[in-house]
Amino acid sequence: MDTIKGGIIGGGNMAAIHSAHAIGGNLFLGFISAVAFATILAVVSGLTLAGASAVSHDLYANVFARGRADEMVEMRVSKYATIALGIVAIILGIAFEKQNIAFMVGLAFAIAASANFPILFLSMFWSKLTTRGAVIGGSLGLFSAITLVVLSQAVWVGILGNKTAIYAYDNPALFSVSIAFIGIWFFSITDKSENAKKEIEAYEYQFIRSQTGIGAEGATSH
Amino acid sequence: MKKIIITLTLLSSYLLAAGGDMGVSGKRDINMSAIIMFLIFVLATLGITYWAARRTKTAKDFYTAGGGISGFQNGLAIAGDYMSAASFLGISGLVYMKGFDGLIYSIGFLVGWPIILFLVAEQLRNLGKYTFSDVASYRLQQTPIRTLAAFGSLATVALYLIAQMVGAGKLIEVLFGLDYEYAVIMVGILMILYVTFGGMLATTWVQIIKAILLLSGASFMAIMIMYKVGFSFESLFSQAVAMKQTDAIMSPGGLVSNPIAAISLGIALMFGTAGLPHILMRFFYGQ
Repeated sequence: MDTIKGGIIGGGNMAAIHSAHAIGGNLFLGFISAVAFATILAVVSGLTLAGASAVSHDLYANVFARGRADEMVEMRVSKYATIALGIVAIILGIAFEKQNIAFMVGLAFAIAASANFPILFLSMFWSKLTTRGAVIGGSLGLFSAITLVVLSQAVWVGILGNKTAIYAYDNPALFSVSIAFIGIWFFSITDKSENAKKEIEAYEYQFIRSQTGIGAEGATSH
Repeated sequence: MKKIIITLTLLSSYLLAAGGDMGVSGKRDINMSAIIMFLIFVLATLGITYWAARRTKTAKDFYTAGGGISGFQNGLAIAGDYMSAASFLGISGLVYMKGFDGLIYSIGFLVGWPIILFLVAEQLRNLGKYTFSDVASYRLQQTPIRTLAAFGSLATVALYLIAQMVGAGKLIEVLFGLDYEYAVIMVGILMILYVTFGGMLATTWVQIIKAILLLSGASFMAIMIMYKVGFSFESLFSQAVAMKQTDAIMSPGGLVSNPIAAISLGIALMFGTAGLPHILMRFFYGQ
């Protein structure tokens, strides 16, 4: 991978900011910086809220408290989760200083495509999906994506300081997405339990509701 | 958007050479007028947060902005979520450093969009309440599916967050001359305060305002850059090549050098969009 020569202050991520200065002077530089900063603040808050809801709404309210959680406690949990996520982001943000932003977002997309997308997509469109298939296949997708990211050039060499990368490509998606889909398919069709039968039968009702909105939250109280 | 980005990126190379006051090493002097403009806008966004914070009372308000966001407003907010530091700062930086291969990210982000819009958006809304695992666990067992979905979301969010933190840290470093580490810590603390007090309503309003500002700001930049080169792409490209002293910026292969890497990145960008928890979440808001 050749890098075209010519560095700038703040590294390659700041090219747009410098061109704002070059065309509009200091005032436009300030404006564009503020917009970029507001962009980041807003995206970061959306992300943090999504992460915090995963902890408070999914892990806490529905897994630990088994659906009996108090709403106020749930909100408090999500605020603690926000603080924890913020601290993790600060530490890792310092470690990843030299990486390109779009490149790292590409890695985040790869994990989303390997872990979240297959489960969500198949739960909507494939009637034979079972819990066993979703959990095993989804976990395989998640762990293979994270492992390949860690073993790739950017993290294994760039952050951990090893000499050569174990995984030769920058983005894991081709392999980890395939692993996830194949895993979900295989462990679903081989699932012959009573539970699996019920889940397959429940698909029809879910499909009707998902296509028509009958009985949905959105149709009534929003 | 991608045309705007390549345009302003290529021109920035030329203008940087012409400007001459931004050498490679050393911090720039503190730039008062830029900082004042910056602070005005940042304080305005925090003002909106304060206003919204007083209206956040229930969990529904906190997660979904109380359901009082109109379709158009929610659309702008989704656009705002999608135009992160990665698209504005990251892609222009990649094109500047590695040539036009960087645009594969713009295209990938764009192609991901119809997948979420036509395949999953409506079903999400009809089946879920706050998070996408409401949908995934609709007919499956709650505990294992939600646990897995939560870890998948957290891993995605963490990596995405790192990228935004790097962008913010670099920005503050360039603008205020602060050390990168302090800049990142400051941004992190600001972000924690912001989310804990403002919740989703504040976030949504800042997204809406920022989407409008970013679209108009970036369009203005693109027009001004084209104005400076006499609205000629040829002169734009040749000046960029002249400044870089190599035509590598105009050749393929700078970023993705083999087909497997290209396909892998393409798959991630196309299918990843429909798995991003913060984007999926937005489909639960609005009237």
